[in-house]
Amino acid sequence: MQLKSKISVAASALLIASSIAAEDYVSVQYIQYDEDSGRTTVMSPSIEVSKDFGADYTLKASFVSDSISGASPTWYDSSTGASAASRDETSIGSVRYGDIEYNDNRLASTIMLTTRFVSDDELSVGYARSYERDYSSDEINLQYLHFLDNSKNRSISFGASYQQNEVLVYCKGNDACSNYVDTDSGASAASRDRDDDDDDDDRRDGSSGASESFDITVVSAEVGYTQLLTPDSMLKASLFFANESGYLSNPYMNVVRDYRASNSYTATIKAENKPDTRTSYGAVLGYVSALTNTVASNTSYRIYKDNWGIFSHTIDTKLYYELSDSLTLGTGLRYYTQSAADFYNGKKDFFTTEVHASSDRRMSSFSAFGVMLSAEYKLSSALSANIGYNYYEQIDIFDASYYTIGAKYKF
Amino acid sequence: MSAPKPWEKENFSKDTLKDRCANSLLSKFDGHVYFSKEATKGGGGVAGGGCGCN
Repeated sequence: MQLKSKISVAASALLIASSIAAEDYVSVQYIQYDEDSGRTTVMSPSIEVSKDFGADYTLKASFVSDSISGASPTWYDSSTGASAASRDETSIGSVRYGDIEYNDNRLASTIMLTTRFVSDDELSVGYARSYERDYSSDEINLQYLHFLDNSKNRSISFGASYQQNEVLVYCKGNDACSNYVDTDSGASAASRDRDDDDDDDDRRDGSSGASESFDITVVSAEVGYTQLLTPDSMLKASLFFANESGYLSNPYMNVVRDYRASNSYTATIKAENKPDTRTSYGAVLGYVSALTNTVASNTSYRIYKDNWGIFSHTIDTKLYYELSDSLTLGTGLRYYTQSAADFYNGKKDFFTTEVHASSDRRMSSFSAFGVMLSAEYKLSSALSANIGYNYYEQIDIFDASYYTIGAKYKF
Repeated sequence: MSAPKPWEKENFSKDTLKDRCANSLLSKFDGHVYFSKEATKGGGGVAGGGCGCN
């Protein structure tokens, strides 16, 4: 009896230790994303490294490079060209809705240090940076994991992040700009959080046409709870909140104002104008289960609401099957639906003097579904390779496919 | 239904019980696609970083 007890304690200690100590690894992935009709293509190589330093510290870092080319749909004045900068008063015959071509490169990196305490609680501190020609973002984040019982069957986590972004905006036809002088219509005073620093970030971007920089600040918080229900199942729940402030419009999206189909037969193409603040909150409920020794499922539901009028639901489920010791197959389904923002309208003859106006289809009411297929093959105990296919469709709007291929080396 | 004993938690160390089989680069890309194409943000953790895709 005494021996059995000692074995149990030893086994318990072993399992706890194995759950605490992450494996050191290097993971490389390549993702090719393509939308229908060649609208947008993204080539995205990435790498992630995770390294333990003793049992108490884990350092994880990642780097990704996105090469993006394609087109984004919006209104423009065809008499001055098919670009987001084609904004002016024009004849109604020149008002067009179509794809505006763009190219961009995005470099993003993250680093996170996790510290474990004697109580096995964990503190993670992270930094993330993302850079594009017309957008930059810096983020610091903090997460704390606390076990609520000695058996470590229940845990609660707290997370918070602070993000400072800067966006370059083309000012023609954009009332947000303060120092832009439009010789045709004059300039309007800025009401937004313009970046007036004397540093070098008031860049001019000739290729995008951006001519004034604005700040965006994002503060996020999340509280999570995890409960191991049985030896085969686990429940996860979280609440999340975010507050965004600054230039929240898309600098390349336009709206049509004052569309007059009689008398003057004119209309004005202007930059879209979303509200300068956004408060959002929601909840996620997840259930993870080992259905058999070789089949596992991971299902979650998310509900979301914000003060722009967006109300959404997301259901995501994935199933993994260990076909052999070497091969694991995966499949997944996702369904998403959202209501429209209060200030959204996609028509050319709707907006007149409304302060907030957007024809950005991402602000419209729509539903989307996705399908995921994956395979992972262990070439050895240390090396594995993976391939995958994903299909994503916004019903009656567009569809996209992306392919993934990669490898992971544990050391 | 009873909560697992410490020696009954072997299943929870399996990658198949984690999102994308613990491949966080793929999870991040999935999130990036949804973030850039939909109006909903959040629910996947506070860490991630911003982008000009929205």
